[in-house]
Amino acid sequence: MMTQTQSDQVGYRVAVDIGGTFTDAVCLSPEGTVRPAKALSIPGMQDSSVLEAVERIGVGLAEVGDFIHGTTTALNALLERSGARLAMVVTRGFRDVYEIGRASRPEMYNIHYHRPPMLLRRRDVFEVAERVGADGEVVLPLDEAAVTALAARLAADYEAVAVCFLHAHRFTGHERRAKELISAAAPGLAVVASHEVAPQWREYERFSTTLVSAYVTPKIGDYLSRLETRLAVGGLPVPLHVMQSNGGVMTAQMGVRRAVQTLFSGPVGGTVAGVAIGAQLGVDRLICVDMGGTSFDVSLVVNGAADIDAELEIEGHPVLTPSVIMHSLGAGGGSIIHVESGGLRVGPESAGASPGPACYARGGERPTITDANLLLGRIPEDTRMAGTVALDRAAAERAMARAATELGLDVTRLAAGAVAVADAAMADAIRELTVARGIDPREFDLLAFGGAGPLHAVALAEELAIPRVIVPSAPGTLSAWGMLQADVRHDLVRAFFAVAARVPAGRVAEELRALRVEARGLLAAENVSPAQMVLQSSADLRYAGQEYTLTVPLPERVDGAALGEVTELFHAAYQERYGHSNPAEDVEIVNLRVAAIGVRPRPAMPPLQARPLPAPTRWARTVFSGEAHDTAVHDRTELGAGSRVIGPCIVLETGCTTLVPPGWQATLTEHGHLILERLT
Amino acid sequence: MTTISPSANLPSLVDPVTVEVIRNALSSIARQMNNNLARSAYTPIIYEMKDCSVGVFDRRGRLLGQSPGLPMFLGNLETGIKVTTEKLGGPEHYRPGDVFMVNDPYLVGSHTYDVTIFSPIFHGERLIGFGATKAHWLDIGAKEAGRPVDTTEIYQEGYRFGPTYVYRAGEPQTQVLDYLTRNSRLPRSVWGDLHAQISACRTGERRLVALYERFGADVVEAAAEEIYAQCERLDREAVSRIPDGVYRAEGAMDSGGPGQPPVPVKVAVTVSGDRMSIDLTGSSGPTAGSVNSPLPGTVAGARLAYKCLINPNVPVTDGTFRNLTIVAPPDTVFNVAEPHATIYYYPPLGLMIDLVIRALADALPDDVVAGQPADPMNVTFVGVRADGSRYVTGEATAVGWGASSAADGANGMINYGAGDLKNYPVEVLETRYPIRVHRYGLREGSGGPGRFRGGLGIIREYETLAEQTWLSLWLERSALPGWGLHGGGDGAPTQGEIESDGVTEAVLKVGARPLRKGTRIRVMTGGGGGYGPPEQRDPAKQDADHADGYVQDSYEMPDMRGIVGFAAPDAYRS
Repeated sequence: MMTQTQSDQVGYRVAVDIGGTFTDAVCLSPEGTVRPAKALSIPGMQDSSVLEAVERIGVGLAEVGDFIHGTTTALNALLERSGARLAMVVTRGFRDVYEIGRASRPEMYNIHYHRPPMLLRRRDVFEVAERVGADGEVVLPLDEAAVTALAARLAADYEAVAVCFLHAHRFTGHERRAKELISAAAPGLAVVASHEVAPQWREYERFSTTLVSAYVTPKIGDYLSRLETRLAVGGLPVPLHVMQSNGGVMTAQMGVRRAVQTLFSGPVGGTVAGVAIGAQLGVDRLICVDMGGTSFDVSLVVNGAADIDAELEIEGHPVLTPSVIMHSLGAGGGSIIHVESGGLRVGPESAGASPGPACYARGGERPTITDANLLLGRIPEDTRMAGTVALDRAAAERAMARAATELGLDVTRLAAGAVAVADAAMADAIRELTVARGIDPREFDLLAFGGAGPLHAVALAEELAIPRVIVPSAPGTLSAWGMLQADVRHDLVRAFFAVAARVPAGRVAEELRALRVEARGLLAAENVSPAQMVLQSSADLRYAGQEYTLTVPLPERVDGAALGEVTELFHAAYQERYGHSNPAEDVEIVNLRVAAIGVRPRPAMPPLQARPLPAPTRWARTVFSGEAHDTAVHDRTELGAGSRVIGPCIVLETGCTTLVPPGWQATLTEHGHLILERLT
Repeated sequence: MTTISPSANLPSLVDPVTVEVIRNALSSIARQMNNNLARSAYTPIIYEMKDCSVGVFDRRGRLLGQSPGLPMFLGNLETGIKVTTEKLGGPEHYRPGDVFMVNDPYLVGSHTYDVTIFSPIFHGERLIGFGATKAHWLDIGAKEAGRPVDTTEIYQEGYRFGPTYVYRAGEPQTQVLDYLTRNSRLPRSVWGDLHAQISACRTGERRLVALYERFGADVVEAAAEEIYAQCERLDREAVSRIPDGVYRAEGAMDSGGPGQPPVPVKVAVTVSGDRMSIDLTGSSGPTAGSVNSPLPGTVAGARLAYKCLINPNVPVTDGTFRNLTIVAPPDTVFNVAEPHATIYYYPPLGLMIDLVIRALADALPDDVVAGQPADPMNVTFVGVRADGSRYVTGEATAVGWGASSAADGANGMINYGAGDLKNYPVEVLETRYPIRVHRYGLREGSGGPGRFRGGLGIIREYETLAEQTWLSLWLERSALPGWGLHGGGDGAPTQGEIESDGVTEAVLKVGARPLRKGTRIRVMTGGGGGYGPPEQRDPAKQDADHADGYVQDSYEMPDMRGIVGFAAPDAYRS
């Protein structure tokens, strides 16, 4: 049995999270102290960045008993279109299923609309003779000789192949056989079959998932193998683990086989951190807000768990794989403030990292939200953004003045107004995400992190009537810390069509049993001991004939009574989500699911010591509600457990500014988190 | 009586920041209503295909924010509010908890299947606005299941409601609900969709009230006036940039139904300063069948044509179409009255939109695109499953889009008016109905040649698996394919075939035709037109087209003249 599942024997725990600019590492000592470190991300050499960051922590790899990694390799390959040379083998007559997609478009009035570019060209799609009907009947046998002949050609021209046959989510025989034949004839090719990655109906969505998976498989495979080898050479005695889109971890070995699960390996760390912080503070509902320079990501923790959906869409590519729901808005510090038809607009265009906001003095001439924050004194002038960039107030003022003149406002009024517009737009995004799911944001706490999150957090809370804001310890490296809090997790799904009221419970139980055996096998392969295995069964249900489903938990023992209860749960969940339900209607089972969880220990952290409240390090002039206030600036490292500061004040730390407006106070908990609440 | 203060009295109450915050909030409200409707609707045509539209309106029934739903519903939600207010005798007769329905096509456009549901919104005692939705119901008790293609009078097209209470001051009108479900072949879906629409209205109500509580009535209402004014300015600026003149185009639909004559459509677009008018005078009279659009639907279609060219990315509000005039003389196919049937109101509007874009081809060479066979291309099957249950399933088929001055046209995409309407997955279709799809793909060689190539149409081939199946087919634009522009060639015309017992028959439109088991139906939709002379095409693109099989080495345009009367597109400027 490997040591990483036995808490008392684990040495240092290390997590490394790769971002666009920085690679963050966090190390947890056996005593529970946290050490963060940052290294510059080197494009195309993520493994070197990881090793560099680990070195900066100052812990020898040989002493590390647990190593978790969040990587953007798969996501970048997809976004930058640098994945594998890809071929697709499809059922004859269906060459264009992938290109046509659903034949729909999101831009209603755009007569110039084009779909996002495909991951391959039409010439890379090969039809083979085979066809299985909807009931499993073989309409046309698989032409095995043709597949073998094709494989030779594929081996010469491609790096990866997706095998996508109609109805293969239920009847896998032809796909399995074609994959065998191709793998035998072309052993160097990465071959991914649709039933393996997404055994669910709707051919376009399943094929898209398969293609995305095949597209990123060679890259993520090479990368993880290379990194694991380098870490082993450096003395790491345990297998490398990677973060998955579903908020769990898996071994790197497994990651190569389930490449598509690593798409959101990086971003989900923050949500997992939210789960852990919620547990520390006794809070089970959190809105997690990560605001950086160019994007604003919202995710939720509901009932103590990350809010996960069974499918997502990335840049127009549907991916049927369980992922933490991450709602992104193109709003960040870089959002550009401009005038259109006499009206004020903020974004969606962003100055990004280059040229960046006007105050970076790197050639940006248009005012941004970061410039507004600077002019309002919300970011102290001597702050260095991301620890390095000095700020040019005069440049920000010049840029803002042009737009202010056009609108007939003074510079301060425009800056304050633009921040208000941005805050309102972010609040609307949170509202849509929560209310659309039948959730009232007022019942949540707001967890704010990322460089700009804690600056805007209280304004968002005010907009949404959220009573409490949490700015975690080390908000700049929260994602990496979160990864240390994750469990091993695999989500298994099997298509299963039946009307809940009429299906023999034994059939459901039998299918679930098979899934659970598979689930235990996966966990065992990752060295999870039986005592640490937790299996959660659920079913995707819907009213007869509907397309969208809701996932409802199933009890361990499935019998007739249990199915009845599950149906009741479905009616209730539907009522909560949509405001109405239809108990007289038949309820259909569409998929059965098992989440295989390997529980990993969470080391206790030593509580922070109390300290006398230090005097402010200095004072700033900050504009709140149109009036400039003298605002105390505190250094966060000088605060101790129970330290309470009263707004208006600014709590400053490397890479992050927390704004406490008038009427609010901030208290540091023994876990090192700042809790912001209204003064009563 | 609600008092209405003129906006001129309020300018000091509202600053640019508040206006922008409120503008974003109104868009967000409409999006949230739409999410709510799409996710809670009962029938796939709403939740999967987004055949719906939602909006939030001010107390005078003016559009504050609309979510992009079905484009063809653009700007005709407010007519439901308007006719209801008139019928009630004024807005003072609305009560909190009221919910209304209207589906009379002569009052609210399109056809009886599209049902407008709306409710007034109150802040305290005061009427402040409306939440409104329009969605396609699957069955409203027309003479046949599915969408009959051969109706000749509105009375064959199911129930028709003028402004009607569904809830009155919070009380469900059980007799109305009973009537709606009792007279539908699919009562559960009617019940489910109705309640999804009501739920969306409630969402709009909650959020608009919250906006009023936060900013106060005076501020929200003054901001609304400013938002309308901004939209109007933006549109007037855009139209001013088009050279003044009268721009014309005309063409004809293949037919107004099985065995019917072609339907000519004439478009005259007049640009004068910052104003535009779209005049449909000279178009066909009403057809004997159901290819007829009542005026409110024509207004929506003409607005869509305008929106495709003028600020397509700006959200629509009441300020949007203030500089647009639409002329559709009575007793034309674009302005029919009782008792004309209207189920197929859509095809002439699709051609009209395509012609408006064609008319402006010289004036806006970089904004327009070449011709698109802008038609839904509907295929509907009705039958009985092995277990004896009845089914109806219909789908629209994608077409090839026209090329522009900068890019090839999109391949296989739903027509202009249908937006986010999605195709039916083959696996879902085959699992639910005794139908097999043998082929679903791009129709090679169907894009019009040009410097930029037109998009490819679709081939979809079905086989019937049950002993008997009834087919309704609506294919269009075979005589008048997607035309080329500025030297580009036409796309392939639409074609259809039914093959049974070794005999193949060319067809375009059939109504409820019985088919024996094993019949094959091939639908081949038209391609988009090309843009610019084909000899100017980048050789690398030509090679890629061949390698990818988008073009064929030899392709002969089929001669459709024997099947339908041929009418070449005609466009000129005066």
